[in-house]
Amino acid sequence: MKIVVQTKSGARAFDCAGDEKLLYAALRQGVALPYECATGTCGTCKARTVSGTVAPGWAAAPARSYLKADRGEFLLCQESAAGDCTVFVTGKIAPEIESLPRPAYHWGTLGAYARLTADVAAFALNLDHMMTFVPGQFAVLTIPEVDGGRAYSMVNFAIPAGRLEFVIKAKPGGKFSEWLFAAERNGARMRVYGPLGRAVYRSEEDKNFLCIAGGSGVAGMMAIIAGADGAGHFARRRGYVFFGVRTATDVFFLDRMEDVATRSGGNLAVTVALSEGEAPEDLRARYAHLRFATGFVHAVAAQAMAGQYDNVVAFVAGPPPMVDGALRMLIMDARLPAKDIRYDKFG
Amino acid sequence: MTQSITELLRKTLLFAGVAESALAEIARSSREERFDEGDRVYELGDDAEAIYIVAKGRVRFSIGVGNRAGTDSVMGPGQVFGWAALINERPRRVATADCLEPCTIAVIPAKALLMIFDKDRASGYLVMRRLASLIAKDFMSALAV
Repeated sequence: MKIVVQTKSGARAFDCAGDEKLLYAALRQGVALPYECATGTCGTCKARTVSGTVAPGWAAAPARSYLKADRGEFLLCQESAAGDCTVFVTGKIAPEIESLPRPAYHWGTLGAYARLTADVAAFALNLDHMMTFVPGQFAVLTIPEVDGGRAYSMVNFAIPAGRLEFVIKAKPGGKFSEWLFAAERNGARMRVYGPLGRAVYRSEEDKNFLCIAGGSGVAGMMAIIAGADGAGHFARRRGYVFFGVRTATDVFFLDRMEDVATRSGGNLAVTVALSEGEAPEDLRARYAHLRFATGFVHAVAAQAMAGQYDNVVAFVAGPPPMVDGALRMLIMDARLPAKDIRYDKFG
Repeated sequence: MTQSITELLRKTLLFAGVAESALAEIARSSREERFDEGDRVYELGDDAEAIYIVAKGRVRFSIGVGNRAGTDSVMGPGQVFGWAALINERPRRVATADCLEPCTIAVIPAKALLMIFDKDRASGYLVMRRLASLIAKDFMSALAV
């Protein structure tokens, strides 16, 4: 099917096959339509039909509350085409997407499933074909047992990658996480669409980086640390990582952080912030190159970072209240320009 | 235009009870702006220099990551947003405001508004008291997330 997209800056066309989501078809063909979450939550990919018909997708997509059906509005990330059609996209075409690896469909086999804490698990997907991505990007995972895709940031980094690592937090009522936590899933097949997302680290920017993450939001930060490590970042620039969890039993990935911090010559400073209680002595002793603090992670970061925001690009991920607190701190206290504050709108 | 802004101010709950002379002065210091569907009124990190009243259309107001879908973050005619311009020193936006359809919006420069309220403190007190309620309501909603 032929899809024509009208925008304020001109028209673009692409093909869309069967029940493929319009956004996914466009992005994989290099048409940089606006999007953020790609999973029906944020509403950035809102569009309107001019002619033709789109086939309805996930009816309960949260971002539908921003749409007016009588105006023919729909979500590019949820709807497919019912035939040739012309649509009008209100958001700005995002040229910066064009400099990132073009997303594609992949298949992978689930392996290395491991529970990291009581409510966080890690798993890997061994891809049938390599994928190239940039640290900080995410992918949309789909399984036959659950309607719709779920977005998760890649934890590891390699160019190209034959294996993608993810972390997932148990979410009561969350169908995907319930499926993953319910049984041993090694060997399951999963469809992957990616890479996606613009909240990326690029070593060529030559900036210090600051990561503020809560819980499983640390996933993308781990890829950033790995990417920075591989690019020799810590030989010339600093990295500040603040990882917030509730208690000392909720920490994970500290071995990896300790490893890079140890080799960084002091240029990777990792602080683990516990919102409840103090870090026990044995934890502090085991991770001698990490710092531990008590408090909400954005407050801990604000105190530790005072006066150190020169040439810094910041990454934020985690539960929405934590992300809001961190963004407020970075904007109001740190006075960072918006272009140097990066985060994804899925959660 | 001044007349239509005065009318809009009269219909806006935040300004209810404000003296007519103050309303007229606010209208004179304000302007109406038209936005296309998809236009961004402001975004995260912008300097906050004005407050806004929707005269026509719908504006999506998203605090922070802005992915908590809900109709309460869509502003319609008579609703006010961008009040951070009134309450902080060197305020910057911690939210984004996007037009969901063609919009007409009254833009009220914060400095001018505060000067008017300095002269007419009774009106200023009324508005600031309502603003405090508005902020408290938002704060309580955030806690309920």
